[in-house]
Amino acid sequence: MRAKRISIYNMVVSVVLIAPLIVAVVVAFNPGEYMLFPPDGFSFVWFAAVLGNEAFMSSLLFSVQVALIVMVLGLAIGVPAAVALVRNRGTALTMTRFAVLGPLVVPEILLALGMLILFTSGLGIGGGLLPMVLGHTIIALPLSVQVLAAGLAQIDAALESAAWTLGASRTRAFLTVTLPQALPAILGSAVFTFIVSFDNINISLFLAKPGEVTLPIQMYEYLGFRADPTVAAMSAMLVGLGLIAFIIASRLGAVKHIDRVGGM
Amino acid sequence: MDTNGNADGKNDYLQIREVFKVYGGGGGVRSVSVGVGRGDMLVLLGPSGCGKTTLLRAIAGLAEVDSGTVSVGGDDITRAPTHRRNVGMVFQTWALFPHMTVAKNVGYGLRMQGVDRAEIDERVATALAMVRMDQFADRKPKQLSGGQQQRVALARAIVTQPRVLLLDEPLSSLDYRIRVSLRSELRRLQKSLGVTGVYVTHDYSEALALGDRIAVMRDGVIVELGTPREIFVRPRHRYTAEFLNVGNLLQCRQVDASDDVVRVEVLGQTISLERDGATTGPVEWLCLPHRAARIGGPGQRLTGRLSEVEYEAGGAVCTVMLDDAGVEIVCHQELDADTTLEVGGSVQVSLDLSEAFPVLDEPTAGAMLREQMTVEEIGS
Amino acid sequence: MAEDIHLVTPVIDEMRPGRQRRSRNRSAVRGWALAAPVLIISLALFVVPTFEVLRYSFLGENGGVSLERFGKFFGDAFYLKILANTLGLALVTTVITAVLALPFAYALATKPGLQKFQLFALLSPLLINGVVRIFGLQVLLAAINKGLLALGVIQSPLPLLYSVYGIVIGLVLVMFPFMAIAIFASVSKIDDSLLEAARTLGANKFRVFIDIVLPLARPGLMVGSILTFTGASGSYFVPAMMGGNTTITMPVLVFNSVSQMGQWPFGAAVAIVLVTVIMPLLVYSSRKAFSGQDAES
Repeated sequence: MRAKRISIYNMVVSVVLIAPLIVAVVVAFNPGEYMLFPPDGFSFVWFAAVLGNEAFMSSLLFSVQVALIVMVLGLAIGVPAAVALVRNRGTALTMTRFAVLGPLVVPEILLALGMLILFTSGLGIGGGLLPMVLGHTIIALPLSVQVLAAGLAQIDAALESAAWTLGASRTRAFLTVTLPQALPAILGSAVFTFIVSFDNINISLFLAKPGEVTLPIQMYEYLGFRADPTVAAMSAMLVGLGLIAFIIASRLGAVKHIDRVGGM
Repeated sequence: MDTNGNADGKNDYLQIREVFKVYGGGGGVRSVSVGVGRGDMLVLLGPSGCGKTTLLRAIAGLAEVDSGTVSVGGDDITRAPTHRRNVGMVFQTWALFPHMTVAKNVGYGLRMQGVDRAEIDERVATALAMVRMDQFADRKPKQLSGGQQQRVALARAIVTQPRVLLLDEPLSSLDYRIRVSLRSELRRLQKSLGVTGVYVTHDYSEALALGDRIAVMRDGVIVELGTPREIFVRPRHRYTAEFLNVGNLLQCRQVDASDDVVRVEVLGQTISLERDGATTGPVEWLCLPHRAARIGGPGQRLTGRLSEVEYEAGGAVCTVMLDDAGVEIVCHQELDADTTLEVGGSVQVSLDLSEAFPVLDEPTAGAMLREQMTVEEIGS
Repeated sequence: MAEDIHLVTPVIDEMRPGRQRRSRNRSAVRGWALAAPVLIISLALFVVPTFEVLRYSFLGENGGVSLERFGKFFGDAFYLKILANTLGLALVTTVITAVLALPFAYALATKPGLQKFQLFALLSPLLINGVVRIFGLQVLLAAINKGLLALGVIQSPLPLLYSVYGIVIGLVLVMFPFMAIAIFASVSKIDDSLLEAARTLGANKFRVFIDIVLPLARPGLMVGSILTFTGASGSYFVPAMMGGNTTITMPVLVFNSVSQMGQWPFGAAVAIVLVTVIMPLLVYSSRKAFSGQDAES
């Protein structure tokens, strides 16, 4: 059981899982207009095209903007929520659980439509930055709070108690003893929230406004009426970013805790 | 020659020959050979990392040996996969299947053997009754206490009538009292079933209570092999005496030797020792049982300073630093109402050196062991 | 764990009897204060939108409460077919994903060779948005078709794209990591000694898997299956991109109703029907999620 072998089946499945990404990247290097795989040449033409494409670049910027705000908002709401999950009891705990886990259990489409109705006919805002941020936040919160709560739960409560006996107030003890230990979980949760927002499709689809469209939706719409490697080039850049993110995450030891998140 | 009253006089029902199993990170066993007679219990005793668990797992087939052979009743099982060896094993964490009831757990091995339902039920009931867990047949493991789970694990291991029963420190996670009571239950069960067993532990009182023979292990080799009495009353090897805390270890210098007498100088005195037939090299160490050292008491006295006192039921364990020799002596002292022991004070220690016996150090013991084995084989 | 913290408070209370009630109230207020942000956000962006959808679904043509939207849905075989398609696709996806992911998760736990790579393959797609992944899948499937045609293995292109099969392939691809991780979470908790004990009792590799691993992997399998089923039935972009115009699922219908046909109330009704139908699953999974929290700490 401790053998460092690898199963053939797993190798095959692993390759199949990343194949679409590899294909998307490779196709970006096509010199011509057609998405040939394998490509009939090698060129950076489409990368230049993407970088020059105003719609793509502005949607990229918009996506990053939204994701950053969601990340900060997610932490501001999520950290106290996670603490509440770990420490509260009775009614407060039940309510917190409901608030945090509810959005996870319901299909995104429902929330997306509901928020569209709310923002459009209810609040008259329509789509745009604010609705997008709020929409992404509610979608990202459940899992990110879980990650935070799991991380906090692992911290020995006795340490905080020890700080109290040494004279620290409850807030001080929390900030100086517990929070530093929770830093990996906080970091992980922040990154996770960013990714969830940046990659979101369902909410972004419903809450988009002309001119304020997130990148995935921009790509989707582009694919709707044109079949050239522009999207592939954008994809290649995103895959590159994802790779870097994964490498950094695994260096930081975030990947080993995968079973904890999966266990919910 | 058989030292444990075994009926056919042979320690060869389970035979381990020159087994090597080395791990990259250290540990494992290096050229271990030992035999167990049919119906006997061999205890592998030693600290963690000595290789005792590796050896046990090698017998079970859970670890593949690098070289050497394991055979049971004449059959070489060295390369056989675990599920075909018909060994019963009790794990340190009991390893009861959490999703099965007690009855299903115990019956699992019989299911694998293809025994029919009615017979399984019968044999499971018998096995559970033997460990006094028959009332719990329909419970799940998590509803049981540690001691109860232990007994179920035992029932599960024996119900298949294995050729060898292997126990990997099964009592170490239990409370002291339960450990002691289960220990004697275990011995009774093993003897009444007549099953050959190998028991791994680091606790020497367990070893003394359960083993017909004890193999004291260190760093992947067997340092000494013998009956409980041999090991505990008259150990041959310095490490054994040390590990079992048999007595004080005193360095000595051999003055001269003849066929049956050896004279050594120790603590400023010269004494004569009976020569042990199997001892080859010069005597460098003596073991003086704790009871032979007393504060006050008759005989020649040595002065020293009392450095530590640890009280126990009925007496005290005193550590005395002898003035002249500069050596520490530990005495197990009986106390009466007026005895006062002052730490730091000066005391007189009397040592009954007639109780001392030689113990051997590293290389000699290895050679001696092989010699011992050859003598046995020739004898049997 | 929460117990530990509250153990300290009563001790302090005992030493200063007058402060008992105040300190206990203080920690309760603190608890609510911590939870307040998420409670507010959840109310505003979860509870209210849900009610809005519900409200709209009952909106009649002339205002007022009406069931006509639901009537429109259930009265037309076209829409009922869409519902059936959605559920059928989700079911097929769940079964296929479970069958594929189980050996993967088991092998990941027991044969950790190149574990980094395996985890990378499993997780990195999650870092990339779904559009890219399905886009890549489209190109890949087209290339496979071209290759097979060129090799003469097939006469006409396989219906991998823009078909039911395409949707299933896409959904399985997207849901696989969730199922695998959920199963892995269960399987990785299985103690080695249980498997070893089974072997000493005569179980060969196959029996060990069936008798020990599978039952203990069940919790993960259940969680994974629920995630996959709800994810597959609620997915928009996979059926939208892989289904062509031939196969439509409920989420696609919702979007189309709202964006293309401007029929918000009908779209709302469709969404409500979808949620109601998969409600039993949602209830079960939410209960699991709630009780799972207890087991967490």
